[in-house]
Amino acid sequence: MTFYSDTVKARLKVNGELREVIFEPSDTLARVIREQLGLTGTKTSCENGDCGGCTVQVDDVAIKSCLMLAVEAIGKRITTIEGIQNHRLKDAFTRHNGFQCGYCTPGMIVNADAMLKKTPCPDKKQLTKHLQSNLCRCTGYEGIESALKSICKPG
Amino acid sequence: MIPFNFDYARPDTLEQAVTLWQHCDQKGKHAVYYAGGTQIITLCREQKIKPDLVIDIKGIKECLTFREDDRLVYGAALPLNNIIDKTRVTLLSQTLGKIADHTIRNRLTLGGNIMGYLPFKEAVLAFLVLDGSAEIFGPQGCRTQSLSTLFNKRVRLEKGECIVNFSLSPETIKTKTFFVRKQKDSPVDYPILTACFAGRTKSLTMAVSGVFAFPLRDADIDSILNQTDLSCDKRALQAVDLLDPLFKSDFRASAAYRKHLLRLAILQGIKELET
Repeated sequence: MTFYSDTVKARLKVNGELREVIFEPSDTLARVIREQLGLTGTKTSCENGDCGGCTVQVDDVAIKSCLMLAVEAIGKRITTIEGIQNHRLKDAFTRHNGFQCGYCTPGMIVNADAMLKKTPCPDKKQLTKHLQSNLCRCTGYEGIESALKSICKPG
Repeated sequence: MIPFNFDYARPDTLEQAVTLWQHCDQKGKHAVYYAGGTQIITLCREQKIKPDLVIDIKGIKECLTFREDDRLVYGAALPLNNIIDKTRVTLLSQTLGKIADHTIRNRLTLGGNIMGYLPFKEAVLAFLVLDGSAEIFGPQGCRTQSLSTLFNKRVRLEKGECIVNFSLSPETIKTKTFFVRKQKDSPVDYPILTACFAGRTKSLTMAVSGVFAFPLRDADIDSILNQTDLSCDKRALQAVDLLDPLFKSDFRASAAYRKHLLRLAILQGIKELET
């Protein structure tokens, strides 16, 4: 059994590196990623699981890091936007103007990357289902969708 | 951020989990069983709950069971997407697949949705309408109880008890079902109506959420739906009239509109499953 009280001193595997962090059991993963690890590409806004700005991958599965305790991530692989290696995906967002203010972009890319790892050629329904997890307050969904469609084509 | 601290435990067994809960309770402290955390973290952030101890049940293998053989068993700590991707029960995947959004469903668990603080608890509908049951572990040991007796507006547990899994009979894979969900605007929103129907030989059952302040399956409503000497219209009208005092009004929809939607859903359900 694992038990943590007061403070947790642990090593988290983030973007392939083991990083030592000290946090409280009630700290969310989003908070630790931003404030302890300095990886501010992970954005927080609603902190309620609605916006998707804080999306990271835990063992290649997209999750909203504002709704996960950092203590749960011990022993797991965390990938933030800084660790996403899919340059084809990032280039597609640039080429198709898949961002306006850019605040939602990290969450969108991390989520899309997780989707593509599991489903390399998603159909429109699958694409919509995944994109519904992330909000763009600039309403730049057209560009985001076309960026994703451009790299989801077989071949 | 959560503006206070708590202790975190990740037991390996059900016995450890319940013992932790009891120790906490004996000290006059508040412990919560925790799985996906999507609701508990939100409520802690808003300081609506302030647990002293969070007992994470994801380390307990019984709470992570997924099997569909002589019995269909779904662990309480399974994320919804794990069930949606694998289950052969269409109604279950349809219902779970509409809860929250895809990324949330990677965390939100079956037990968390059904035991949660929100009034919708849509995951329970499939288990209510398909006569499912739940396995519960507590200070008195393990017990199994049908959802029809365990669920009355919410799951009724004794102090310190924890849901281990929910289960269905294997026949439910072949049961004809019908599902309808309505939201006000976005598909990712709380429902103004979710209705599940199951049609077995000369028996139609219904469970609904979103229209009242709690999910409901009611024996009197089921018997109205099965009065085949009456027309579909009459049955639908009688059913919603009986439920009339329960319909809720809020910024998403009025009680009258919810009643109208439920009447249409019942009509559709009868037509789909009686032909």
